[in-house]
Amino acid sequence: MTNEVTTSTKSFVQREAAEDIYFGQVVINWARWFVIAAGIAMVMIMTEKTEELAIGIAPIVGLMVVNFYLHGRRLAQQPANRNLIAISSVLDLALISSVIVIGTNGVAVGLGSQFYVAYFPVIAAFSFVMPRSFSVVYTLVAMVTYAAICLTVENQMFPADGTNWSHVESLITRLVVMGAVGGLASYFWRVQRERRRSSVE
Amino acid sequence: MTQATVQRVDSDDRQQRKTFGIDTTKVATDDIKAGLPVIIYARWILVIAGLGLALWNSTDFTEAQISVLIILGMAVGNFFLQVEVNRKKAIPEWIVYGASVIDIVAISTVIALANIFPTSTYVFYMPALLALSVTFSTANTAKYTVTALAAYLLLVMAPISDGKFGDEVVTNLIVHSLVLVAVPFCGNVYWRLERSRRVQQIQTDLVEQELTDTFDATPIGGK
Repeated sequence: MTNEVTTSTKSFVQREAAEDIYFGQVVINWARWFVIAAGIAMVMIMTEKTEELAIGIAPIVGLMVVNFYLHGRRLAQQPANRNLIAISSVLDLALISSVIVIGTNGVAVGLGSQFYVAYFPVIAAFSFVMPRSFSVVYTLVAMVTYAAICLTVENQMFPADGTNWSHVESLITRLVVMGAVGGLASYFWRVQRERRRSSVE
Repeated sequence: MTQATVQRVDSDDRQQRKTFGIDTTKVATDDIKAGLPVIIYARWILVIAGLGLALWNSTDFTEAQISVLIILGMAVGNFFLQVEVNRKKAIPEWIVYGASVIDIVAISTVIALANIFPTSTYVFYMPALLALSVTFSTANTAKYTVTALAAYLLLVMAPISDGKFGDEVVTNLIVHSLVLVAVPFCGNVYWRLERSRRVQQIQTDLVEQELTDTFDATPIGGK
C-alpha cells in the first residue's frame, strides 16, 4: 500500500514537471523572439557594409531557425523536451554573450555594451519553466559569464591608473538584478505549483 | 424574457453544471493574493540595491538626499505590506496597484535625477515589471508597461539631446525599449498559462470526482 502511494506521488510529480515544460516553453520562445528583434535592430542600424551585415545577421538567423522549429513544434502540440529546451536556452546565453564580446561596428563591447539587457527576459523565461535547481544554475552561469566578459573584454573597471568605482557599481547592479529576476521568476514558479496543488485538494 | 436572454441563462446553467457549482473563475483570478509576495520581494531588492546605488553613485548631495528619502519611503510602505501578508490579512487592491505605481515613479525619478544615458538605474524596471506582470491582469500589466516605457523614453531624451545622438544611442534605446516590454510580456504569458492550467486541472479533478461518486452510487448489476 505504501509503495503504491509512493509510486502514485512520484508519477504525479513527474507528470507535473513534464506539464511545466509542455505548457511553459512558449514563454521561452517569446523571450527569444524579443532577443532576436533586439539583435536585428542592432545589426541593421550599426552595420554599414554588406559583409558586416552578413556576418552580423548570420547568428541571429540561426537563432530564428531554432525558434521557428521550437515554437512551431509547440503550436503543433508536439513541444520539445527538457533537454532540447535547456540546450536552446544555453544557445541564447551564448549568443547574447557573443554580441557583448564582439559587438558590431562602432558599438561598445564588454561593460559598455547595452546588449546585456537581453539576459533579463531569457533568464526570467527559463526560471518560469524549469525546476529551481536548473534555474539557479542557469542564472549563475549567466551572471558568471557576464562578469567574466566585463572583467576581460576592454576592462574599464580596473584600468592601469586605479579602480573606476562607477563602473564597478554598474557591474554589481546589473549582476544583482540578473540574480533578482531569476530568483523572482523561480519563486513565482513555486507559488504557482503550490496553488495548483492546493486548488485540487 | 427574450430568446437571447433564455439562451444565456441556459448557457450559464450548463457552465454551472460543468463546474459542479464551484466558481472556478474565483480560483483562477485569485491572482493578486498569490502574486503579492513576488511584488514585495521585488521591492525589497529595489530598496536594498537602490539604497546602495544612491549612496555610492550620486553625483551631488541633493540627488543623494532625494533618492534616499524615496527609497526609505518605499521601505516603510513595503514593510507594511509584508506584515499584512505575513498576518494573512486582506490588502485592498487599490493599495497593491498604488504601490506598483509608486515603484515605477520612484525608478523614473531616480533616472531623472541621474540625467545620464545609459544609466544603471534602468535595470530596476525589470524586477518591478516582472513582479506586477505575474500578479495583475493582462490589461493592467500593459498599462503599467506602457507607462514605464513612456516615462523612460521621456526621461532619457534630456541627457540624449545634450550629448551626441548617434546610431549607437538609437540602437541602445531600441534594445532597452524591447527588453522593457519583453520582461512583463513573458511574465504575463506565463501568468495566463498558469491560470488556464489551474482551471483545467480543477475541472478534470471534478469530472473524476463525479465519475467516482456515480460509480460508487451505482449498485452492481444496475439494480
